[in-house]
Amino acid sequence: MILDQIPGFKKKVEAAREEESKLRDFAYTGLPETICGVDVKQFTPRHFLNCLLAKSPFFVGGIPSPVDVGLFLWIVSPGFKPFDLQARNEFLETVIEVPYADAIAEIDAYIERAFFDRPSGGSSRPAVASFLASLVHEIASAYGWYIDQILDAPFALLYQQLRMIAREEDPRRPFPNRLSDKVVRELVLKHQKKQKRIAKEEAK
Amino acid sequence: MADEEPPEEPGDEEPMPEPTGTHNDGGLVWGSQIITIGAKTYVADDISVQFPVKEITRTNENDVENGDVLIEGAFTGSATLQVLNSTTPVPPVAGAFTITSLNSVTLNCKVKEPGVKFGKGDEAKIPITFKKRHAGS
Repeated sequence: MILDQIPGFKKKVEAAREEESKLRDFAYTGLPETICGVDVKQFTPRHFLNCLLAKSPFFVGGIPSPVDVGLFLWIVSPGFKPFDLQARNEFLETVIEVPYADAIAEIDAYIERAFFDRPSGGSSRPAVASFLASLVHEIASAYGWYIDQILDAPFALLYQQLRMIAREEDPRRPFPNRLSDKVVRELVLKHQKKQKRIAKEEAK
Repeated sequence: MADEEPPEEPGDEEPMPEPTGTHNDGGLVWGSQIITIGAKTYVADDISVQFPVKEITRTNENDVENGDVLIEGAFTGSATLQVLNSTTPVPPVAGAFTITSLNSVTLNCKVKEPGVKFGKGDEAKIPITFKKRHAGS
């Protein structure tokens, strides 16, 4: 069955694809994002490393406290300076009014956007290096970028470049589109359920 | 998926116009299709089908063509399958399925080369090649 025959299919899938497209284009703008009104940079491997060093629950697990939220916002803020305690404390005072629950939800969404095109799966063999080593290796090998350029580029941009590298190696390789594929899947399952219901009613 | 069926939304029943720049003039396939291989359902994207034709030409003594025979071969094709749930496996070799052209011609197909599953869970895709499934096979 041709999917376009499902009522509303094209409209909904096109809307999801447009959303994906906007998300992907944004990675290349270099523009900041906002979390609860606070300006933050797009999430980069360097931010990720700093979060790991700070044992941020957003990456190492656990329930984030309000201080963890503040520290996360500090790490991704344009004014972040490692080891500058005075700057950090001044920043934390500016975000003290940020609503905790909203901040958690927006940080989760911010991270999800950054990792939207992340490669799926992974090797079952034991890791021999940081996953960032693999990222740096792939990008540097293909484009000759310096390590600092890669570590300071948004994940959302790097993952798209990884897709291009993989597609160049294997033009037939498919890539999941997390938004539009989900919409397709849900519409198909809904349609099948509806067809089954109609068949059941007709059989009565 | 929740068991509860989501309500119809306004506009669901409206027919959609063809996107700008597409011209389907009885073309073979366009867009994505639901296909079933074994008891498993997939969404097939990027469907491409080729109909090979073998040409035998007859020439005169000066090697000028003065006749030919065109023999239609078995079609072959490729597609990308999207799985609909995490348990859907890679389809087997020779797995039978059908695809439909926009002018409603049904093509009987079988999987020739199932590819590797990329992605995981419900977000996985599988490239395949397929060919004509002959009557009785």
